[in-house]
Amino acid sequence: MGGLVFLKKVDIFKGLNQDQLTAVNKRAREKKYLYGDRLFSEGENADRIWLVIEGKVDLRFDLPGRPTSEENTVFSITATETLGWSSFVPPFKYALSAYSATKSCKVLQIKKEHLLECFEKDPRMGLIFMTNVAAIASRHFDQLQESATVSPVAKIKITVHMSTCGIAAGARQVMSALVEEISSSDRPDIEVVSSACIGQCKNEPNVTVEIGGSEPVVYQKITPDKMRQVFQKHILGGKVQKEYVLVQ
Amino acid sequence: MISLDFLENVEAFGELDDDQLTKIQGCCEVAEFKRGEEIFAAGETPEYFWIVHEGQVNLTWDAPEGPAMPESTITTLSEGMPFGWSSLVPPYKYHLSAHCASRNCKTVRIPKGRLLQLFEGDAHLGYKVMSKVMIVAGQRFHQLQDEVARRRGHDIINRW
Repeated sequence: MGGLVFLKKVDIFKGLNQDQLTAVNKRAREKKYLYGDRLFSEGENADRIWLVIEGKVDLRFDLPGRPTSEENTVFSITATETLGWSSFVPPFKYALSAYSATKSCKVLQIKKEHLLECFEKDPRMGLIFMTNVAAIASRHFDQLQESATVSPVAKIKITVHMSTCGIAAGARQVMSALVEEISSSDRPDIEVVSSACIGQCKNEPNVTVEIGGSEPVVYQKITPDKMRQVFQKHILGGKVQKEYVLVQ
Repeated sequence: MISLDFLENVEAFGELDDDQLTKIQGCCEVAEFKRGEEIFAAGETPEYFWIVHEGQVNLTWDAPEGPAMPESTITTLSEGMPFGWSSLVPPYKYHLSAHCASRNCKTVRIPKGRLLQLFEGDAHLGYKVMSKVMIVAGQRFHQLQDEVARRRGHDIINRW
């Protein structure tokens, strides 16, 4: 549950004294959510911060007209961590949607206006708080930079081996077919990259499919039609197309 | 000496009174650069919080590696705009690199230690400045998000 013992552990209140934490605690409101419940939506006015007491909250981007999906989670927030620093940054809108990702989760909500009232009376508290918020922003900045080579939502990676030998064997046409399939599938969790030859020139074009943490599957002598089949049946359907798998 | 008129128009100091601005003024140093010169590099431990006085400064993102990911400019700053916000918050590390983007540029730099000391001595000043610094941090974060999204789009196109 919340309370001073909990607030003391929360990243955003690090360094506040007992009186300052008591002032925050008076303004905090506890709420419970069940699995899948939405705490807030992307684009809503960000007017409060959220502290996770128990459970896990996923920050996701939602696709228009589609139900929310765990695959679209960008960050997960667990106990003693904070959501909603965008309430202190123009345009004061949530950039992502937040969902309860455990059977239940408990959070504390504190309205920004209540915090600002506390800071007006006690600027030292405001200084500590703002420094902590900026430190969280700094951490997220690092995470964003680190994740930039790979889509943070990519759970599936498809590598088309596009060296000179691969291109001569038709890898560019394979890539073209793949991009068309991805475009029509509307699946932002699929990342496509190209890379060098894997030393199997006589079996080019090669395509490697990696789904989640499972072993990569390397396909050989892929044509645009075979690529479409692999995309539909393996990548979307989960069934490896054994007849095209590279035998080493 | 840097004027109070200049300082009061700096985004980070906009709500300070003249006494507080005078305290800031006492910490300011001037540093000049020529086009292309590095002001600081990403990853360095910061010594200063910066403001553009004259000319322009580019904030660039050097990573990640690979031909499809060249260095790119996240934003170009002009007179009165602060940079190097991460000098004031843990873990005290510049996230981006800064270079002079005009023929010459004049910057105001404030040693972070002196600024943090001012915050300690005058919490009201510290709170007001950090509230604004938080806004600058948020702007940079959103600019970086835009750049990441742009790169991801280009990456797919460039590689085939």
